[in-house]
Amino acid sequence: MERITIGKLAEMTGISADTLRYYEKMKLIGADRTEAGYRIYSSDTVGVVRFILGAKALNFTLEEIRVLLTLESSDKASCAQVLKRTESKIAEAETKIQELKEVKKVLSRLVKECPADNTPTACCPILDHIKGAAKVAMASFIFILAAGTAQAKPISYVGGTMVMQENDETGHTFALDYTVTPKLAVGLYAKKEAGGDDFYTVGPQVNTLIKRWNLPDGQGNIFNMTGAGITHDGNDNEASVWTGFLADYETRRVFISYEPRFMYAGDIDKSFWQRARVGVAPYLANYDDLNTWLMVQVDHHPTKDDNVVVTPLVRFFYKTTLIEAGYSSNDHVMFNWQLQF
Amino acid sequence: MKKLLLASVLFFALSGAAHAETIKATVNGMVCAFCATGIEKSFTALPEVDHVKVDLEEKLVTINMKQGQTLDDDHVEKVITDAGYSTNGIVREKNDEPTK
Repeated sequence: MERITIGKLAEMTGISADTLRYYEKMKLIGADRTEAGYRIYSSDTVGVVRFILGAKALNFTLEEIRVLLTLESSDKASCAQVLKRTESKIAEAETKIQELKEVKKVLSRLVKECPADNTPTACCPILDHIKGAAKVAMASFIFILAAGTAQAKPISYVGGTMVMQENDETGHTFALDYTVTPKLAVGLYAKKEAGGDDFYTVGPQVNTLIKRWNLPDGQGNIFNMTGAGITHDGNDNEASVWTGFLADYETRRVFISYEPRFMYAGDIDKSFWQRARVGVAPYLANYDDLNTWLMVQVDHHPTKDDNVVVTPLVRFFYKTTLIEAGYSSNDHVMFNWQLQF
Repeated sequence: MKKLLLASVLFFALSGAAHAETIKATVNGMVCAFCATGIEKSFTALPEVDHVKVDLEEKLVTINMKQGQTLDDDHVEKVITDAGYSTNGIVREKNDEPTK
C-alpha cells in the first residue's frame, strides 16, 4: 500500500496540513510516524478525508462524522443506524429553514417600512428595529443569568440544601443538592450544552466525600460526583452516566482545585474534560464580611476546537450567597451563583 | 394566702438568677466563610442555643446558650463534624447575670 506524507495528503484533498492534524487529534484519521517522526498516511486516508468533507457538506459535525466513520467500517452496523442520524440532521435543517423564513419575513417587512428617501438615519425603521432587538437580546441574556451552578463544595452541612447554577462557555448547568450525612449529598443535575439548541442531560446525582483534611489553617477535600439520567440531542435520547472528581485545598488566602469529568451518553456523547482553578483573596475577610476572591479557571476539552479555555473570574460571597463572574479566552461571559439554606 | 403568694414570688425570682452558659469550640478546617455558614445554621437550629458567633481569624465558634440550657461536648463535636469540620478543644464559661 502506498504511503503518503501530510503535504501530499493535503495536496490530494485540498485540506490544510493543520486541519489534517486536527482530524487526527479528533481520531477521524490515523497516521503512522517515520523514524524521523514525520506523519505518514496510507493512501486509503484520501478516501476518509473525502468522506469527512462530504459529510461536512451535509452539515454533520466532526463528532457525528466520527460516528458515521465507525458505522461505515463496522460489519455489524446497519443502514437504519445511519438513517437515524440523517433524520436528526433533517430535523435540524428544518428548524434552520423555519428560522431563516422568519428572518426573511422580518427583513421584508422592514424594507416595506423604509421611506427610501433622504430621511435621516435617526428615524430609520430598520436601524430602530435592530436597536430594539439588541435590547431584547440583552434582556434575555440577563434573564438567563438571573435564572441561573457555582459549586463551592458539592456537600454542605447535614440537613443543608444547596441550589447552584453555572453559565459558561460549556453551557448552562443547574444542580440541587441535599446533604444527608457529612460524606453524602443527593440531588438533581441538569445541563444544557452550549452549541446545541436541543442538547441537554438531566438526572439524579450522588456526591460523596472521599477524603477530607481539616487543618488549623486550611482544608483539603476529595469528592466524587456521579449521576445517571437521560441525554437528549435533537431527536435522539440516550441513557447517560457521568462521574467526576473534585480535589481542592484552600486557606483563607489561597485556593486551588482540580476537577476531571467523564460523560457517557451512547452515540450522543463520550467525553472527558478537566478543570483547574487557582485563586487568591486580596484581603483576609472574616465570617461576617464580604469575601472576595480573584481566580483563574482553566478548562481543557480534548475534543473541542478551543480545547484550552482560560477564564479569569471574580468570586464574591456573603453568608449563604455566592456569585462568580468572569470572561473566557474564547469570548464567553461566565456567571455562576449558589445559595445555601 | 398572702404569705403563700410572697413565697411563690421569692421562689421564682431566685430561680430566675440562673447562669447562661457560653461554649467556645476551636475548629480545624474553618477557612471559608460560605462553607462555615453550616456551623451557624446547625447550632442556631437547636432549641437550647441562643445565638452563635463564628470567627475565622481565631478559628473559634462561640455558642451562647439559653438560660439554664447546655450542650454536652459530644453534642457540640457532632454538630461541628456534621458541618464538615473537626474540633480542637471545647471550653465553657458561665455568665452570672440574672435573668431579666
